[in-house]
Amino acid sequence: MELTPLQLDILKELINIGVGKAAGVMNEMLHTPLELSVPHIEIIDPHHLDSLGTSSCATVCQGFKGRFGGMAALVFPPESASTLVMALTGEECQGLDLDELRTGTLTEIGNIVLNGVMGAIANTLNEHIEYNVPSFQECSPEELLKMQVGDDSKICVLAETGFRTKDMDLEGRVYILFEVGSFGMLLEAMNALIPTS
Amino acid sequence: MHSSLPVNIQEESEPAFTECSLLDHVPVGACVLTPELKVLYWNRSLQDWSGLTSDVVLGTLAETHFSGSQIHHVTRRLRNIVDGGPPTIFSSQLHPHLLPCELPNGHMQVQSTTAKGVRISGINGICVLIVIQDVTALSLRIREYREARDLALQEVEERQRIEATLLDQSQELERSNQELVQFAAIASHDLQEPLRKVITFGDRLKLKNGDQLDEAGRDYLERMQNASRRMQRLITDLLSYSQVSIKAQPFELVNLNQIAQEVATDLEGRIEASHGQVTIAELPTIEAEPFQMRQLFQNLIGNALKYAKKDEPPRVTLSAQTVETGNRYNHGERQWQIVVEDNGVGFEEQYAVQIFGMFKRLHGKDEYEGTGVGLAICKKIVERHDGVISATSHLGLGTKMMVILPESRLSLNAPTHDNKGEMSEVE
Repeated sequence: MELTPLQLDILKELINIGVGKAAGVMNEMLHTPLELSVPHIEIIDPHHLDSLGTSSCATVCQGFKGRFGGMAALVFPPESASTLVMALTGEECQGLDLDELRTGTLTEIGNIVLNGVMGAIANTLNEHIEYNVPSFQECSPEELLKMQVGDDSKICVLAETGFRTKDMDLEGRVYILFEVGSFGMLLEAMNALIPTS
Repeated sequence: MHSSLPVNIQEESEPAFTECSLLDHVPVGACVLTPELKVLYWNRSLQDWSGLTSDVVLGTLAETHFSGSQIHHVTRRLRNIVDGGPPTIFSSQLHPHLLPCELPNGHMQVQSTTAKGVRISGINGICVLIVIQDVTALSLRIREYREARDLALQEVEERQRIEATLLDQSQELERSNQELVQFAAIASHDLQEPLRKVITFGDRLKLKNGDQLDEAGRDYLERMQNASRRMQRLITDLLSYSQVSIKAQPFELVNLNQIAQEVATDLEGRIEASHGQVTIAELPTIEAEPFQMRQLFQNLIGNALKYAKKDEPPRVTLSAQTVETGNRYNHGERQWQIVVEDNGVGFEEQYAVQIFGMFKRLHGKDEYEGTGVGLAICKKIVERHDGVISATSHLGLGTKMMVILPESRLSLNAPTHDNKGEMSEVE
């Protein structure tokens, strides 16, 4: 499915609003000021996921269901994930391995980012969405999305997301996998935002 | 009606309370908040952990029981759930003590918390189910693991730093050593030329003008000539010493028996003159540099013949046998011990190490000619072959020189001879 440039702009704006809200929540919580940005989004074909990479990543994913169903995930290379957690928590530890404490923190960070994005989408839709509890897993983006796509048709939105503090500049990826019908609902809601001439 | 329910939420909460009572049977802390974020249910684990009983907590605002300066932030995130938002995670690193619970050891319990919107019978709106896991033990283990890992990483870093320093120093030493050896070689070579001239013109002076000198003058000239020739030998030996490293040739299979026989043949004149005898037992074939093996045997047999007793013809025996260890360079190769034994003047045992030093002489130069470089060259050659050289001796009872050499290098199995074989003699 291809979006018009205007639709893509609105979607990007929507995700930006969500990510901005997440940044607000995190800055309230953390001592280290964090800047979040979404420099690029694109629609990708979930049946051609090879290009997404096969190396294992730190992934926080959160499913949603109901009339509006799908899955949202925040994905980092494992070392970037540890670096982010260390920067945000002020840990003075040498190793970069993702232990249970760090995966817990990353799950909370992912939870805040995904809640922000999904909250912005839910507001646009004016629709109640039911969510699963977020979970952490280590898998490649390809494995993650293949697991979710199954036989059904899905639309996948990829939003590259920058995480910046004064000492660190990292890039994660937000994937949102929509069921086709759900994405249709989102498009309709977005179209309603476009002023008619 | 549940007697412990506060009056303000008793009536409408009775069915909800019954529905939530299942939470008493789960091994985690759990509570349910009303849409107003008041405590609707407070399970037994939470009562045990916090010491706050249901009587005290039910109907109160949850935030009054939570800890920390972030309470408003936590409340805002909980309110988002009531508004239909997604579940919320409060991780143990960022919110370790969301509900302050003191452990018997005085430390605070470390918690990992999840909050999710739920519908409860009889309550209008979305309630919040909060599940708190006690991760104190896990956190402690992870922190201990991190400390151990950090310590190990520091040690590895320190070791790598030391290794790098040692490598640098070793390379510097090697370079400096090479420079010294090269200097010795160049200096030796350059010194030869003026010395040759001193000897040549001394010879001419003696030949052409010898008659014009008085006896003292001729004595001075003779002494000058002797000193010059001795210096020439010293320079030649010094050059040989430096060339052990500089002109090193590739290793190949060397039949030591053949080498020893050839050396004995070269020394035939001296053997005959001293009525001596050199007996060579079966020696092995080893991987070595042929020229240097020849130098080694030349020095060892030559010394054995030189330091003979005045009244007893020299008897020199060469033999070999395999040995188990005794070589610090041994990496599992078969080791051969070659022994050169004589019946000469010997020396006091205390000099057994010193004799391998450069310019080290135990006898006056008038007594036995030589420069004191021969055994230093032997040591250098043996060490270059990853071997060791040693000596045992007693004054007047002869000397035993022992050389241990590996049979092969780089796992090349050279054909060998048995250590028991026929004897050959050169007389």
